[in-house]
Amino acid sequence: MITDDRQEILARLRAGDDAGGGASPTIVDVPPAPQLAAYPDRTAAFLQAAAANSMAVQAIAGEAEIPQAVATYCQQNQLPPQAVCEPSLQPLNWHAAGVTATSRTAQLDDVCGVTRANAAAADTAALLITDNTPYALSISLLPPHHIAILHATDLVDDIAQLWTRLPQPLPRGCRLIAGPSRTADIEQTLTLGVHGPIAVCVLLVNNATPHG
Amino acid sequence: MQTSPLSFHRRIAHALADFEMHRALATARHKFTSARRAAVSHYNERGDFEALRAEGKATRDDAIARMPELLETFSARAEAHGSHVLWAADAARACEFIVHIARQHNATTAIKSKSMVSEEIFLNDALTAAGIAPVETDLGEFILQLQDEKPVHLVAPAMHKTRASVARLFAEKLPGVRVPANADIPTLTRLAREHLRQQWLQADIGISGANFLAADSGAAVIVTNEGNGGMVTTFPRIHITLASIDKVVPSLQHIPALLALLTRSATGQHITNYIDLTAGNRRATAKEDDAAPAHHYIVLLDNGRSRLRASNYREMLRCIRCGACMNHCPVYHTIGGHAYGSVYMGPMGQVLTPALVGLDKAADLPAAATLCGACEVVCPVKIPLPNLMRRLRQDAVRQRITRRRDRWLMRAWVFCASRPAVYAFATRWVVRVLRLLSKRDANGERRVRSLAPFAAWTGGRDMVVPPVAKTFRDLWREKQRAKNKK
Repeated sequence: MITDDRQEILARLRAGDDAGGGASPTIVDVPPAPQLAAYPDRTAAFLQAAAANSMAVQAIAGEAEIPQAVATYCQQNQLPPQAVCEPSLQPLNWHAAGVTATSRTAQLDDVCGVTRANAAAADTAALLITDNTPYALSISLLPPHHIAILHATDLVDDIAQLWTRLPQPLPRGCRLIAGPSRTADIEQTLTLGVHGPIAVCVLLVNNATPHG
Repeated sequence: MQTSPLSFHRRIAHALADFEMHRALATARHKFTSARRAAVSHYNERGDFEALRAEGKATRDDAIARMPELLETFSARAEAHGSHVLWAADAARACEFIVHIARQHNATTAIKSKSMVSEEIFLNDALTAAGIAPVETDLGEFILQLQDEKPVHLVAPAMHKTRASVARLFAEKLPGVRVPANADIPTLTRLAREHLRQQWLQADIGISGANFLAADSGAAVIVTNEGNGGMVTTFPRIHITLASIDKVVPSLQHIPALLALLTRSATGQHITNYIDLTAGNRRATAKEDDAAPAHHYIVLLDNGRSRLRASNYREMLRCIRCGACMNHCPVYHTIGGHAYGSVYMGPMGQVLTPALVGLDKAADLPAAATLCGACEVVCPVKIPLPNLMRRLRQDAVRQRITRRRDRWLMRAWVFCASRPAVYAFATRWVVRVLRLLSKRDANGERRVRSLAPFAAWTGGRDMVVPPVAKTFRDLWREKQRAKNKK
């Protein structure tokens, strides 16, 4: 590989320190990040944030209901009953729901992708997805429809708490998703689906059924 | 970094005559400022946005103070994840490294997510010259690439374009794409989607910027709303992160607070739709057919920042590129982003550009401010932008790089203002001359409608002339005398 300018840049930075000018290394007291009040009803906050971000949320009672929920989603959106999913979802009984589920990396012509979310934040409805799960990063981004499975027990208050759910050591890629791909680049007018998902639907697996 | 050969005054004249741009700016201004206001008050329902700003400022100051140490830590941790880190002293070196990487891997195409640093180093020109085709994927940047223009705004690069001009551009520049007459915004967005969609899985290289580099984790963070950041960092076999050295922060733990400041200040969002963290290249444990770059490079760009850090303007390095300062700037909203003639525009650009390229090459920029202070009030990391502009003006005078005419006018003013007798004499003559030049309006008030050497100024306003040929000091003296007699 070529030689870079590491020594030169570091020397310039350190020379700035020594000059005692503006840049003498000062100890900066960084206050602890401000704490936010806890939500009295975390699920309600999540639903509100999800709606604000154009994400659909549907409650289901258990993972066994996933294939049927995906089948219904495809039907409602006039999609072929096909899904590309992460490996851990493959063993579900897709056949009974009439859905063809394939576990592989996403391709351009895939219409619907199904992944789990490791966790989610109620304040912003952000879902955490990492590539510790095979295919999760491609499936959650390439197909026009993304269905994310979220267990209610994995719901935390805010992004700072969600951050503590980042796997250690860090995977190559981690992604927070807070709604379908969107842009306002033409005339500051919000438009959904500029690249990846045009729609994001969360299947919230829980006992405490969310209202609405 | 500079984008126009014209003088600042000529660029401003062009901008003032661009009515399409003014319409676009007027809409955008209101949307940005009201969205930010709503997001801040929403945040204050649960927290304290001022405390968050204090946290952000302290985090950035700490990072700037410890920059050499943090960069070394970042570099070591990133390499432990499998990244190759290349330190580039200037724009030419950064371009050279990226072209070198592309050649080494026999790459011919590169997809890019939005990166102001890549604009700063004119990376697309360097890639094109080396036979590598860059494709901008951010919708705004995609439009600008077709038009061969530079961004007008940090977060809304094509803000000056109307849907009609985008439709004309697509019809002209996209081969084989039929653009319907009166295409609406969703249609235009769909056309861009279809055009770009073919590129995702074909490009050899993905080039992204970075909003933050976390030193303790060797990870880069990018935020996008379109999801193109994730696309660029996931699908190509080679991923290059291009980041300037000021993007480093001590720890991954500092990122949530900075993100909360960034998105609320930029677009008034509580979060962007996508936040992508990348750390290194494809892991050995990854499934063979899973999408992940086999090679990851990080190009760390200095390009004047180490010098800036040692100067009186180091507070500028706190900047997290949200664009709030320009959204709230009366000058920006009058002249638009291109008039600044630099990749960085608005108040942050007025300080950053001269601080990076040298005041002698951009001495006019800090002068183009009303010093109203709005930029400092909304800055998420409390950069004292008006003060830095004042300091730049002082430096310009000290270094004698202001215009000769300005220097002489200022000297004449100092001469009069510091000698009361001369001042009284001069103002008495000025009042008389103005009376001679003035005309009575319908109300009998005397006004100067136009004054030849100041035609541009009097073109927009009248100068009211006192009813009697006396100066303020004359009137004051008379008043005092009358009082004493009583």
